[in-house]
Amino acid sequence: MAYSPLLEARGLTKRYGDTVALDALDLGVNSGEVYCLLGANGAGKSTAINCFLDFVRPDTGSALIGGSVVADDPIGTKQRLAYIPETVMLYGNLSAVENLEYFATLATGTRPARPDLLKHLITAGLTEVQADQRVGGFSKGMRQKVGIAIALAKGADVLLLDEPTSGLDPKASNEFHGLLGMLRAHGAAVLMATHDLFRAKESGTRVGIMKRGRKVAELRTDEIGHADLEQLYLQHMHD
Amino acid sequence: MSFLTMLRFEWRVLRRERLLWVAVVFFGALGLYAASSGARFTAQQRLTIAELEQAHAQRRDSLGQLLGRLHAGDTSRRVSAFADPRSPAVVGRGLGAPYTILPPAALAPLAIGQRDVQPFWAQASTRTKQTFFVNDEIENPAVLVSGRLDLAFVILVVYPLIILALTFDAVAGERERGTLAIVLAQPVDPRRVLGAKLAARALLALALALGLTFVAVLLTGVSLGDPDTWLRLALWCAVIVVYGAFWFGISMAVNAARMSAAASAVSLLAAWLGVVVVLPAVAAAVVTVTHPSPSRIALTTRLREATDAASAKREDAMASFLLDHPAYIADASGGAPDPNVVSMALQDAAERVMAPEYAAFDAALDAQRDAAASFRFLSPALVTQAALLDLAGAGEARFRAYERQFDTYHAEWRDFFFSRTLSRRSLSPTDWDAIPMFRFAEESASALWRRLAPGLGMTLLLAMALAALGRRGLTAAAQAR
Repeated sequence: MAYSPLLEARGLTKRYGDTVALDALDLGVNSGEVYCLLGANGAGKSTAINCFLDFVRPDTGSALIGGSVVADDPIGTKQRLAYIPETVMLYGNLSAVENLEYFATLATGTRPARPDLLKHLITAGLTEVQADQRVGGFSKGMRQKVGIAIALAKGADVLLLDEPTSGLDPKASNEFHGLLGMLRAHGAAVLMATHDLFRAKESGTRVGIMKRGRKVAELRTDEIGHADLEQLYLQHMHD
Repeated sequence: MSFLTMLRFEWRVLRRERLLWVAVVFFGALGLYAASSGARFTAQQRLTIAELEQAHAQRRDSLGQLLGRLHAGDTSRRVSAFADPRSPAVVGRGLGAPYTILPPAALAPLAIGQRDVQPFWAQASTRTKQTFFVNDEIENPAVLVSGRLDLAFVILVVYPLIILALTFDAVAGERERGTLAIVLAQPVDPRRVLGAKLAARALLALALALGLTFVAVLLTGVSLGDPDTWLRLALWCAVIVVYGAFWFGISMAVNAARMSAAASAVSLLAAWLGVVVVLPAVAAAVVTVTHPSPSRIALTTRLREATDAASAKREDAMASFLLDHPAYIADASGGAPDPNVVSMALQDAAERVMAPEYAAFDAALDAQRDAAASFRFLSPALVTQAALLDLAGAGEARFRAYERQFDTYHAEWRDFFFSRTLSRRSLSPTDWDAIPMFRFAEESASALWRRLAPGLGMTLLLAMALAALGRRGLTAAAQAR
């Protein structure tokens, strides 16, 4: 196939009663791309991401990962996918290494050795001391790093990020986007819902603006400046 | 990822939770206290039995020696007619009579049940059984209502609570804490992961209950020499497994109902209250209404009236008694009738009048017991309680067996002494040695199993149905939001 995005939405539609959460959403994210979904709360960004996780079944249309329909093969499609929600909730009584061991074992079916786990955590930006601390006391930024480590341990090439940096301080946010750049450089396809227009322009390769379940605009970030992106966004929100 | 690996991870998470250790300490302490209470009660019974047997042995020896001397023609001592070991009537009424003892069973320390209100011994006598074998007059109302604390109670009441406390939020808690989303983003079957989470917790509770049983068995000095005891112990463990499976099934079904952790806690508590407290109380209330206990006081009053009536018509009683025992008349050499025979005649006349009433009384009691037994199927808690009590020898059935064996023995005893009284034979040392003795014959483990099987089977079926229902719902419950 000439054009085969790692992540693809084809006419994704989901209704809850009279509310349309997703209205025939089409999008594709290729390897090495960071696609940022912008939009007000309730615009359908999370619903779109949840369709790729099979947390939400679309009424019509389909979500595809690597060419497979998620609803048809939810377990298979999750093999190459990593999910980082707004807050990566972990088992507070376990250390970062133990949490990673659990999720990596769930993800790969085999139990990774401790040096490998440590390597991933350190790559994600935690120190060796932090790796053995209970995550109950972890800050949000540290939890996101464990989330990245899970993606690394899993060897995921599809990342679904649901407002991963909201509430992070600028330094943590900066670190997170650094990691994102690294994953992207390794060929990951990233779909990220965010409210951070600045980060969307900086880290994203493309942005899509959503409103009431529909994609109302899509553009490449290298074609537009920071101020123009904000202008465009606000324009859509006012309509 | 294998199921076993998932269990190991769950245990790792659980091990760090304070709830688990609170549960372990609470359950362990309560269980050990209950076991010690059962052991104390059983030790007391054994001590009473030992004292009775010793007292009887002493009386028997001294009476035997006296009998030997009298038989040899020693007339140096005067013996009262009421203490004469040669008289079959006197000995038959209870002079030096042995005790009919229902000994505590091998696993007795594990359950007290109603053992504290049921007689576990009686002294043999030719008198009417109902005048000395009384089984429900020494009731301690407080104990009747609450029962004594024993291991069976802890397993019946507290063990389900431990299972529920450990499992109630296995799914809802993960969803509310947000970890479920990360788990379900992994390529695993949600039913398997959630099933493993529930199973790990339930298996812990099961291990606690089984462990407690073994510790109790070791600490209370249950003797394990007899393979039959092992069989009963194995059945006891099987009952724990089946009862635990039932509660696991309930918890699984509630977990699958996709409620909040708080709502599932309340639902599970309601289920516990219904199964352990309300249904048994309803069953008891219904049985009391449909099959009221016959009045023992009324029966005693009727017996007194019948005895008085027989005494008033002494001649009639004697005449009809002699009609039934022509051999006695043939031997009669005139003169006043033997007062012992007169007393036998009066007893016989009263018992003839009372026989249908006794039969009706026993039938009413049996009907009540049977009704209670069939109502057991209302609640797995009732089935389990009956099974645990049966296995520890504290159940209704064992007591009824004792009563039946006592009846047979009582008839044999009467026959032995009445026939000698009627034939005017004084007891010889040979007779003395031939006096019938009572020995309780324990129910075989296979008969016990046949009685327990239907209830356990029902509980297991219920457990499997609930677990299947829960398994079906777990996929939906697994939705992260």
